[in-house]
Amino acid sequence: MKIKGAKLVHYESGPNMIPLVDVVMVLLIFLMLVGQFGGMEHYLISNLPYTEKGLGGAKPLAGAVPDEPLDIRVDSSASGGWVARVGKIQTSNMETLAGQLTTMHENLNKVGTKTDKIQVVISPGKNVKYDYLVGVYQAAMDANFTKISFARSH
Amino acid sequence: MIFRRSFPAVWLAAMCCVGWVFADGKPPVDAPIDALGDEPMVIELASRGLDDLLDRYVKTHPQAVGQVGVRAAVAMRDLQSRGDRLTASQRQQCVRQILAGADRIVPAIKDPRQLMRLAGVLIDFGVGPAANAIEYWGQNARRQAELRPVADLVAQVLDRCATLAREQADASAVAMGNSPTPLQLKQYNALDSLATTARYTRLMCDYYRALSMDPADAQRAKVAQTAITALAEFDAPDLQVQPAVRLRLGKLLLAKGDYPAAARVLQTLTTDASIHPAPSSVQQFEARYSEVVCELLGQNVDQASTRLAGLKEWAAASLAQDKAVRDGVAASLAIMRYRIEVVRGDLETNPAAKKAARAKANSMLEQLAKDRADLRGAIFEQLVKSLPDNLAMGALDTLLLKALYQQALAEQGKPESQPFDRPAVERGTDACREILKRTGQPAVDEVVVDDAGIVLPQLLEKLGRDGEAAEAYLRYCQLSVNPDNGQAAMQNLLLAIARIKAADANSRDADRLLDAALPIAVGRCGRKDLAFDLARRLEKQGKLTDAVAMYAQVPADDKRRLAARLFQMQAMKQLANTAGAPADTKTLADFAAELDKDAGAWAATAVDPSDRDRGRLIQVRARLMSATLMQREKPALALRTLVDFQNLIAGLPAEDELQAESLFLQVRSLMSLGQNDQAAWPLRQLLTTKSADQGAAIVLALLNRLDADLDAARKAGDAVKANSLLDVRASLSGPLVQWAAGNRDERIRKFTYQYQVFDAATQQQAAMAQTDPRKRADGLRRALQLYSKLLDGENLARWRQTVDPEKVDVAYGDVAVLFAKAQVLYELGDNAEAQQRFGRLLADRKLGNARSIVEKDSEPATQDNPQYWEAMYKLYQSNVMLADNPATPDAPRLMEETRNGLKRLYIREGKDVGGERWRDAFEKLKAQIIPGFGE
Repeated sequence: MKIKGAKLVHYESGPNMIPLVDVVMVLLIFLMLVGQFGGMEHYLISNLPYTEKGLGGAKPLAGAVPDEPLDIRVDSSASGGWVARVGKIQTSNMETLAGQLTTMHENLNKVGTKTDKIQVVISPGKNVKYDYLVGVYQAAMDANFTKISFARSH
Repeated sequence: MIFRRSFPAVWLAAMCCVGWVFADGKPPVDAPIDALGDEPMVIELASRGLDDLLDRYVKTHPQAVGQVGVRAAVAMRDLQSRGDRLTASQRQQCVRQILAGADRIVPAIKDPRQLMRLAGVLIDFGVGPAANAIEYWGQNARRQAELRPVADLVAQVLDRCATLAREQADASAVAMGNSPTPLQLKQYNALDSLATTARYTRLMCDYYRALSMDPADAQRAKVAQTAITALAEFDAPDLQVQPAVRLRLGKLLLAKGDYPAAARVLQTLTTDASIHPAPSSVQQFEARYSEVVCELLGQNVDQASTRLAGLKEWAAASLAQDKAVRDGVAASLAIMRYRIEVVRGDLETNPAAKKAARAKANSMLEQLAKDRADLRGAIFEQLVKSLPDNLAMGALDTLLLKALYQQALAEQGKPESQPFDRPAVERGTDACREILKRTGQPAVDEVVVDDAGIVLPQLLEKLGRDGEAAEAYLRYCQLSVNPDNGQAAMQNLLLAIARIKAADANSRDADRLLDAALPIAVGRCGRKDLAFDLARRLEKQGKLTDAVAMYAQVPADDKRRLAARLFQMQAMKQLANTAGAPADTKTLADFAAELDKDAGAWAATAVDPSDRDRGRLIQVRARLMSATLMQREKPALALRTLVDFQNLIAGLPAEDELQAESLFLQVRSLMSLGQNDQAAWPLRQLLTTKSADQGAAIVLALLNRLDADLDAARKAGDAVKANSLLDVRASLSGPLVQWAAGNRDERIRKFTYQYQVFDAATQQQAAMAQTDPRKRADGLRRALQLYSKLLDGENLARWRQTVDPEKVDVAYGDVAVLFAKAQVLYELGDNAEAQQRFGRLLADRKLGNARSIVEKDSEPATQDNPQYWEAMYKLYQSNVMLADNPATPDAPRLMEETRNGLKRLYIREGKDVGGERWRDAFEKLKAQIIPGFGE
C-alpha cells in the first residue's frame, strides 16, 4: 500500500543542522585524540634530561605545589556503558557529572583559583565510545570550565 | 450466577461411581519412590487426592514448600478440602498459586476425576467471584484481567479431562470385550459420562472466557459464537440441563453484544413451558435480571427501569422469603438501580443533571455499603472512580484503600507506550502506606497488608521513584512471609539497586540497600547464587568471620566456587592474623592442600584456556598458602612444596610477582633452617634463567613484597618481625650485588645496577628502622651516598642498558632512585631539596595520578597510589617547614600557596586525600594549616 502523505512532508524552518553539528563534534574529538596540540603542552611531562644537579635540567619548581590539571578519566564498563572519574567524582550519569563538576568548579573559584587557570583534561579509555566523550565534554562545558582538552587514550 | 450450581446430574453421578481402580492404572515402575524429588512427589500425591499423605510429606519436608509446583499442589488440596472455610483473600492466594504452578501440576494429573475436581474449585473460587462482579457491576478491566488466566486454565483442565476420560473409556471398552462384567460396565459408563460432562462444562465455561475479554475485542464475539453453536446440542429436554443451557445461551449472546437476541432467548426461561425440567426460581431470577442488563447495555435506561421494577415485584411474589434470599435480591436490585443511574448520568448532556445523577448513584452505593458489609469491596471499587483528589487517607476504610491501590495497580500495568493516570498511581501509593501503617490492627487482614507491601514499590517504580521503590521492596523482603512475592520482590529490589547504581556509581544509598538486601536474598530467599557477592562485600567491610561462612555457602555448581574457596582461605588466614591469635594452621593447611588438589584437577580438565589459567592461578595461590603456613614450623617441607613452582606458574599473568612470592618464602624458609648464607641462592639460581629485565622485575616484585610485609609489621608494632624482614633484605642484597658485579657472564653483570638499587633501598630501610637518632642519620647518609652514586653518569648509562627505551623515559632518569633519594633527603631534614625533588616528580607526572585504574571483575576500578600521596604529603610538609624557617625568602607567599594547594586538593579529592595510607597524615596537616576547611 502506498502512503500518500509521504510526499507532502516539507520543511518550513530551514535545513536541520543537528546532524551536521554532531559530525563536526565527532571529527573535532577524533582530531584531538590523534593529533598534538600546542595547548597540551601545559600538562605534558618534562622530557628534559636529568643531571645530578637537579631534575629536568635543574628547572626549579614553579610555585609551592605543582599545578595539576583536572584529569577526567572516562572508561568503558563491561555492560557497554561508561564511567567517568575525576578526583572524588565517579559517575555514569551525565547530569550528575555536570552537577558535581559545577560544584567543584565553584569551590575552586572560591579558594582563589581562577577559571582560566584550571586545565581540564578528558582522558578516554581505549574502548570508550565517542558519544560518551561528547557527553563528558558537554558536561565540562556545562560546568563552565573554559580550558578543556583531550589526552590520548590510556 | 456461579456456574457450579448448574453442574448436571450426570457429572455428580460420575463423581460417585468412578472407583479408585481408575487412578492412573498402575503404579510407576521405572523409578523408586525415594528417587522422586519433592515437587514430583507432592504433585503425585495431590493428583491422586492422597491428602493425608500430602500433609504428612509437607510437614516433614518443609524445604519443599518453596517450590512452585509444590505450592500449587498444596493450594489445590486446600481449595478442594477446605475451600469453603478459607477467607476470600486466602482463596485468591490459592488460585494464584495454582496458576503459577499450573504448567507443572496439570500435565502430571492423569486421573480425569481429579482434573474435574480441580476445574470445579477453580470455577468456584477463581472464576466465580470475578465473573459475578462483572455480571453485577458491569465491565471492569481489573476484574477481567483477573478472570482471564483462570478461565483459560479451566478450559485447559477440562479439555485434558475430556481427552483422558475418553481415552480411558475406550481402553476400558476394549478390555471388557463382548461379555463385560457389571463392574466393568459401570466403570465404562462413568468414564463415558465424565468425558461428555467435561466437554459440556468446557463449552459452558467459554462464557467466562468471553466475559474476560474486552467488548471491543473481536475475539470475544468469536468465542461466544463458537460456544453458542456448540451448546445448541445440549439445549434439549431429555438431557436434564436445558434451563441451564438456555440461560447460558442468553448470557453468551449478551457477551457477544447481540442484546435483542439475548433478551429473546432469556425471555424463554419465563415464557417457554416446553423447557424441561422447568427453570428454577433462581434461574428465572437470573434470566430476568439479565434482561434488565440487556436493556441497560442497549442504553434503554427507561426500559431498564421498568423491567427492574417488574423484577422486584416478581421476586417479592415468587422467591423464597428467607432472609438470605431477601437480602441477596435487595442487593442485586440496588446495584442495578445504581448502574441505571450511572448510565443515565453518562447519557445526560446537561452538566448539572449529569452531576446530580452521579451524586444520586453514589448515595445509593453508600447506602448499600452500610447495609451489606460483604459487598463493600466491590462497592468501594466503584466509588473510587468518583473520589476527590485531596483525600485524607487516615479517614478511609481499609477496603476503600484497597480499592484505591487496586485502581492504581491497573494503571501501573499499562504498557510503557501508553499514558497512565499519574494522580491515581500516587493516590495508590498513599493508600498502600496507610494500610501498612495499620498493620496489626484487628480489622486489617494480613493478606491485605502483604498485598499493599508488594504493590507499593511497584507503583513507586511506575512513578520513576527508584530510590523509594527500592526501600519499599527492601521493607517487604524484610517483613513478608510470602515466599512467592518475596522472591519477586528481591529480584525487583536488585534491579532497582542496579538502576540507582547505573545513575550514580558512587551512590551510598545503593550500597546500603545492597548490604541490607543480600543477606535476605541468600538467607530467606535462598538465592545462593548471590552468596559469593555477599561474601565479597562482607570481606571488604572487614567482617571476616561472616565472609568465611558465606564463602562456604557458594553452591558447588557456581562457576565462582573455586574462587570462593580461595577467598575463603585468604579470609581465614587474615582472620587468624587480625584476631592476634595464631592461625589454626592445621585447618588452613588442610584447606589449602585440598584446594590445591581440586584447582589442579579442574585446570587439567578445563577446555577454555582462560578457565585453565584461572584454575592454575588458584592452585598456585593455594600452594603458596601451604608454604606460608609451613615456613616457620616446617621450613624444609615448605621448600619441598615449592619445588617445581616455576613450571606451575609458567605463562600465568603476574608470573614475576608469583615467582617473587615463592622466592620470598624460600628465602625465609632457608633462614628458618639457619642457612642465612644460602638465602640468596634460590634467587641467584632463578636469575641465571631469566632475561635482564625479567630478573630486575622479579627483584622489584620481591622488594615490594618485602616492603609490604615490613609496613604491615610496623603498623602492627611487631618490631621482631620487622627486623627479621630487614635481615631477609640484607641477606639478599649484599650477596646479590657482589655476585652480579663479579660474574663472568655479561648478561648477569648487567643486573648489577638493579642489585645496587636493591642494596641502597636495604640500607635506607635499615636506617629507618634505627631508633637511635645518630645511627639513623648515619645510615640515611650512607643510603644517600649510594643513591647519589646510582645517579652518576656511569651508573645512569648502566641503568639505560637494563631498561626498554620504548617503555621508559631514559632521558629523565631512574624514577625509583630519584624518588628514594627525595625520601632520604626528606628524612634527613633537607626540606629545600626534598621540596624541589618531590615537586618536580609530581609536576612531571612521573609518579602517576592519585589513583590508578585497574580492572576488577571485568570492570575498571580505582585504587590508591601511595607513592603519589607520599610525595604529595612530603612536598607539603617540606613547604610548611620551609615557610616556618625565617631564612626562607618570601615565606608568607610560600605558606599561602601551600594552603591554597591543599584546599584545591581537598576540593578535588574530598575525603580520599592521602588514600588509605596517608589520609591521617593529611588530616593532621589540614588541621594545622587550614583548620576548619570543608567542614
